[in-house]
Amino acid sequence: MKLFAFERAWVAAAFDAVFPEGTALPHGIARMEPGRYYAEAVEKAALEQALGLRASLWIVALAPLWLLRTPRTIASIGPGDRRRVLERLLASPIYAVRQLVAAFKAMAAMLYAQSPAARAAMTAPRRRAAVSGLVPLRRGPAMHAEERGGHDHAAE
Amino acid sequence: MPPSEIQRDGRRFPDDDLPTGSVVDGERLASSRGDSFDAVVVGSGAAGAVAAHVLASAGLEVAIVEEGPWIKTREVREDVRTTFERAMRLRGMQILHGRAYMPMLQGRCVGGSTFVNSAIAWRAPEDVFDEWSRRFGLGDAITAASLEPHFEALERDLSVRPVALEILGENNRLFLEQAKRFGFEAAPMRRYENGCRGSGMCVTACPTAAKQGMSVTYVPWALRLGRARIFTSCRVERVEIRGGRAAAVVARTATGHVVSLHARRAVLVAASTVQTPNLLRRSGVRSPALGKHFQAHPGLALGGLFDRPVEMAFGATQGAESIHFRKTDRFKLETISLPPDLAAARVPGVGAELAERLAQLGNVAVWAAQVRAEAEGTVQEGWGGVDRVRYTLTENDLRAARKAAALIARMMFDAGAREVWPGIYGVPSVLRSIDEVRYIDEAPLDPRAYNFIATHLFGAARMGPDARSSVVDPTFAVHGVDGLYVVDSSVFPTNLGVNPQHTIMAMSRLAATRLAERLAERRAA
Repeated sequence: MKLFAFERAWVAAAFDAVFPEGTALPHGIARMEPGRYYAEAVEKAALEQALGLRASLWIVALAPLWLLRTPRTIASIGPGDRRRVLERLLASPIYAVRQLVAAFKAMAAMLYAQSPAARAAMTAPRRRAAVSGLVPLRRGPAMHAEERGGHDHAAE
Repeated sequence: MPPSEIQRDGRRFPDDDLPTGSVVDGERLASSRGDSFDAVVVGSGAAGAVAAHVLASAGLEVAIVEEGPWIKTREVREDVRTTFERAMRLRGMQILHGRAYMPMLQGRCVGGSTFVNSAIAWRAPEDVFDEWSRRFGLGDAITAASLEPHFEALERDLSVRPVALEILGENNRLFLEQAKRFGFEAAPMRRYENGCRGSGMCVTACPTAAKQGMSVTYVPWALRLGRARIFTSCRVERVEIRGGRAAAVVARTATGHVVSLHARRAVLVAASTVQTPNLLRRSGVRSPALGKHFQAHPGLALGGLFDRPVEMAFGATQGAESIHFRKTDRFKLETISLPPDLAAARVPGVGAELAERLAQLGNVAVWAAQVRAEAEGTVQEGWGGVDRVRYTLTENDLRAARKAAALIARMMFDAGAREVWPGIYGVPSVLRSIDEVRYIDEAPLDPRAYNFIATHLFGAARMGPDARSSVVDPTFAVHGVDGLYVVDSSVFPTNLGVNPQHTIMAMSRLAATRLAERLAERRAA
């Protein structure tokens, strides 16, 4: 099973939202040819797994349609919106959606950790300020902020 | 970007310099071939490797047939992608189906899962054998006493020892300290290792062959006896049963050629809990119990972010554990140092938030629980010949998992964690104080809320005296077929509540030893 060029572009855009440039890690994932990597994974996977990989990509790619109510794909929205879309998908009340998108994130992580620089940055102990500014998300039925002590972010 | 090379100081390893002709590589075989052996062993993991070594040591000519390739120590890379693509079944993307999907990791290479596990040695507790004897009619066939000499021999051969202090690592040390503070027993793990340097790479295979997996121990040891041969990258299609007797094993190489191995005396199947039942089915074995009673130890892990270094990258990958709650609450606690590839997938957030946390991965501890689940599933062959496992945890299993997760979270906060990541849907993805652990206490008892991984698999070709309710008899022979034996964990009537490799090997060693004795008696007669 092969990926089309537009699907590869979706992968590149979505992976870039997971590991963008200009963060606490040494570089973004875009320079690691994510489209080719994902296409290769789909091509070599067994049928069921290949379908799952493809389904997860299509969910991520088309999610702006219903999450942002805009007729665009993941590749044609800005970086901030991409990040918000992924966060909401990972916290989706629909089990299949959040599982498939979690698998998509795992694929990105597996590629990113192949970078020696990124790997070194992730394994060396360091002290950092607490993470702040978690993005507020729409609540799913299983999680209400009031009932959960004010937390209102992704439950991945 | 190529995976980073690992320095190995020009050392030679036990999987180097194998006897000429002892390895037939199915990735290179250019034509079909046939051979004849006294015994053919299907699978080279914990069960198959041990059985092959026992039979070869008894003077029998043995063939081992392995579906996956032989990945040598010097080919080991530290990244998960490379390892999973080559060493894992379905490239690490195999799943259990049920109300929730659960990843199921199985090695598919020489050594099987021992190539990528943490080499944890646990003798199954006596209550397990008592239950097998009492509830499943095994009587005196399989007892702690009958397995004792086999456990001892394995422990001697594979250098079983507790994790040494100098390679314990902070992830493990902290767990032990917290267990003591919480008032329950915990201890460094006992593992198969010889010269572990604490590289924290068990999951992606040992780069120095210190881990005593089957690909650097019993498989090469069997080959060096001069009476064994291994056929790698050869998927067994069926066992040929002629006139009620197992006569041959037919496999197909990665290059598409047929390898037919005549078995003069016996075929031993050690293809794993998932593959063994389907292989028996393809071979014409018809048992009402085949594929039923599948069990597992689903595991779930929690991450804790500290203000000080934990350095999971150094130390035993899994080095500390507690079975304190095994009987009362049906779970076992243990540590696991995840490589960044796997950890990154579980860290909350995306983008800058994810990066900020990953940049602090050196300050993260990961502790886990494996549940002795009461759930039972089925193993079948799906459309296109794929293995299909259906399995859904019960409410009791989920209650055990939830209790274990809450305990781990409290231990982490008590140790000074700034954040705990429970990974349970319906619970905030980041907990920031011990008071917030109450959200885990209230987590839904729905399998779709948890991120389990199934690693320890049992049953589906259960042992018992009655052919209507079991697949193999207490001598490991398939009911109604001469010369066909199953020696892997698919014969276990129940799961164990502890890591199973040691018991799998001991059971296989017992089966192979008894078989070798019977064959010797027949020869003498």
